[in-house]
Amino acid sequence: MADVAALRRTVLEILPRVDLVIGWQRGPDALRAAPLLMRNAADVDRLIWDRTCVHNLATFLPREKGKKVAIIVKGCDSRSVIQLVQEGLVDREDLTVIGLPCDGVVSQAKLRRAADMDRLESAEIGADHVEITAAGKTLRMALDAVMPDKCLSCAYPNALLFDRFVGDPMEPPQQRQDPYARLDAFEALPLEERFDFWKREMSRCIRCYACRNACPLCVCRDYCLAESRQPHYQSQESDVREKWFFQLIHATHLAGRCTECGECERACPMGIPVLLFKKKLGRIMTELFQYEAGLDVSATAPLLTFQAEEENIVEKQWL
Amino acid sequence: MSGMACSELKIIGFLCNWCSYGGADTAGVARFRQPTDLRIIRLPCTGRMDPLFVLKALLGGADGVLVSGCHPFDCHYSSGNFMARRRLEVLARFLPVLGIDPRRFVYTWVSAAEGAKWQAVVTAFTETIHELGPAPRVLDPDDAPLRFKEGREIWPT
Amino acid sequence: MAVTQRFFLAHEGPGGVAAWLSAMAETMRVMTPVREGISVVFRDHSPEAPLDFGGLDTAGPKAAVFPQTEYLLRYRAERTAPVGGHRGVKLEEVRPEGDVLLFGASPCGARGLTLMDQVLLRDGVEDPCYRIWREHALVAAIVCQAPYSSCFCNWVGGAPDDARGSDLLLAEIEDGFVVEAVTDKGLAAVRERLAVATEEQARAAAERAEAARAALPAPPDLDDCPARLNAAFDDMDFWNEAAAGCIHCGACTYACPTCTCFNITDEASGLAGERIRTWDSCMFPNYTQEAGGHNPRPTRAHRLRNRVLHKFAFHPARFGEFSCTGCGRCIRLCPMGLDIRTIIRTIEPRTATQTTESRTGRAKEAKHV
Repeated sequence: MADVAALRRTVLEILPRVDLVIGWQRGPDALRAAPLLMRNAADVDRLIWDRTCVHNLATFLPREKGKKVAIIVKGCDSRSVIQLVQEGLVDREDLTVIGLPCDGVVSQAKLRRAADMDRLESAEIGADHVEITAAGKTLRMALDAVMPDKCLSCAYPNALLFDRFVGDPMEPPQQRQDPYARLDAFEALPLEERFDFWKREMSRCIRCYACRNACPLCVCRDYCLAESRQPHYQSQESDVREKWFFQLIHATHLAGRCTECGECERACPMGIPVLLFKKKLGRIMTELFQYEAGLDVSATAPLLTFQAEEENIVEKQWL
Repeated sequence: MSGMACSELKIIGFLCNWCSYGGADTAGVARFRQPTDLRIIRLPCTGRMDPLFVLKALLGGADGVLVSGCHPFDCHYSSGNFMARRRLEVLARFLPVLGIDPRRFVYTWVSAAEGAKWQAVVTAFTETIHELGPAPRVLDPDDAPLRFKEGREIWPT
Repeated sequence: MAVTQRFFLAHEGPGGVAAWLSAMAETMRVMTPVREGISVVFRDHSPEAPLDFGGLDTAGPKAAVFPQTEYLLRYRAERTAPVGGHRGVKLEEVRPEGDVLLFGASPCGARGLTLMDQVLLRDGVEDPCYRIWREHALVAAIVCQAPYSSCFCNWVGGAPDDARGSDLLLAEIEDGFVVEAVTDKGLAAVRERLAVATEEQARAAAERAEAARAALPAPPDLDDCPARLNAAFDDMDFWNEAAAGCIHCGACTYACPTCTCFNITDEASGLAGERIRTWDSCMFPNYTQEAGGHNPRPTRAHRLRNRVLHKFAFHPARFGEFSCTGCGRCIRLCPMGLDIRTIIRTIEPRTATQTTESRTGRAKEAKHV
């Protein structure tokens, strides 16, 4: 991981030329961070850069449109920035991207399964391990065990789009986990079980829209179909059908745009694995159109174009 | 077949105004025998098809959804069906992750002249849906979704 | 009300939790906390479900008495006669039905109900549905054993063994729970069914509660908090800074045991429909949005200010206590890691010049959300 002092120096250098720099600061406990919007030099003292910097800060870019903004990004986050630039949702001219190399963050969801994170007393993150003291017990875990799946299967550890790069570029992990391993496991279940699984999971949803608002590409936000009365796409009721349908709005509106950064699932306060929907769509995009979102600012998303003779689509034949 | 041998199921058909809606009309004028499970919604073009229409229907209690438009290269607006083809193919492949049988959704092309093809499509699709039977319901009155159920755990990552 | 009889509910066996819950389930709906993945949620009780009493339920207990969707009425357009009649609207009022036992709530969650009562059961403006739910609900809370790092109940007048809002207060000891009947309704549920706790058991429970209270760090003095917040009302620099990381989702408000804001919509389908009341969140951009498009709280900063001031200034001014139970759910669940404790602790009125500057700043900020 790049050194935070070097990052702070870069931020201080850029700060006079922009309205704000978006980074991370320490959050409510030792293993949680929070976004930090730096406007003056004093704010930069609070900037951190370590494995707790999980947030994809690109989610703040569309709402700061019109300002000169600098943003600090990991490899995965940079793909969201590329996608936003590609779609004209942020202005490249107004944007300064500070790229970082990153070989993985820690997952709150995985930490919660392993340790009593609500009673966290102290934590130390080493090169290949995390040591946690919680509820009086000390636990040492391999870093791999508490990294999000997206880090274990990361193909882009370095920011793909940047104006300044802080640190030395990194190699992707030697033994990359299959990015669709969890999806495969899920799809191995019988259809009825998958249907019942979602009914159960979605019944937990509280319709708070954290998934939508954390998503860097869900840019309608305040004008979301889910709350629209005209057209009246869905009811405001909080039953499973409406909550599930909302997830399908989110997923289908991201088809061919989603970079699978996992913010939706990370943000979910109820721990619903909503990333599965996007993973599935991501794999379909690769299968059908050999397209991966967020790699090229000049690419056209596959659902915004067509080929008269599609290579991979076999239409249904009737006798 | 429904209306004759067994009870009707709910099938929603989204038809393009220029081709398939005409095709269905042609079949009707020619008095081709057809199953009656299909409820038709007319669209200006399959390019109007939002995949959410299909998902809304399937979560809302439809047992099957059929989308039909103009043949490729025949779109009244030149490219609506090309755009639709991509979206609908993605949707068809997406359904299994929801636990919805992908056979419950079909998109196809029927021109205004193809009354006989329309008859074949509707008959075959309706038969498929009858073989599959009624779709599982999201809001099942017999279901107690708020009761603990032993289930496979898929953890957030 | 002031009954202080204590009973004993064993972990296992004939006088145990499972037997008692089954007995209760004969006459009412029983909801218990169940662990699902990394969440703990209230589900209809089933004997196979592994109950989870280790800590806070994730989203709080309020949905049991203030459902996320409340059906207020159903309507249908109908003809008065098949032939020749005129078309009218048939209305049917919907009201909640049935008793519910909410077993295993947290004391902070249960106390939230008393704060919701202040808003929803006020003289003259009583909410009829909420009244029915509340009267039909039996709340059994369990005394906390070890606080979370996000807990701050003692900042706002609560405690790990706060009995307010509960009908029964359970304190876990070695082989079961010592059950305190807080209300007559609670007493009726246990009197015939459970053995009276021995003095030794009662003492063990009291010791545990005392230990839990001692485990909480000393609270800061928040007496002047409403005054400080009111003085900083116009300090938009502060609020912009505080809301900088907020993504205006509803996680904090929906999980909050005291938030009562709602929206009312008609959900029509053809000629019939229902009027429903659903939770609303002051963090949403369309909250208080007026029909003409104007919103008096146009930015995240304005909305966050409203949430904090509502809980720590406006509610205390009207009802004499903070509208916060210090459960810390908003801190635990915030996807961005924001912490309301920082705001109420650090807010200070700024100097006059700073405030003037920020007023100009506000006009500029007001455009973006």
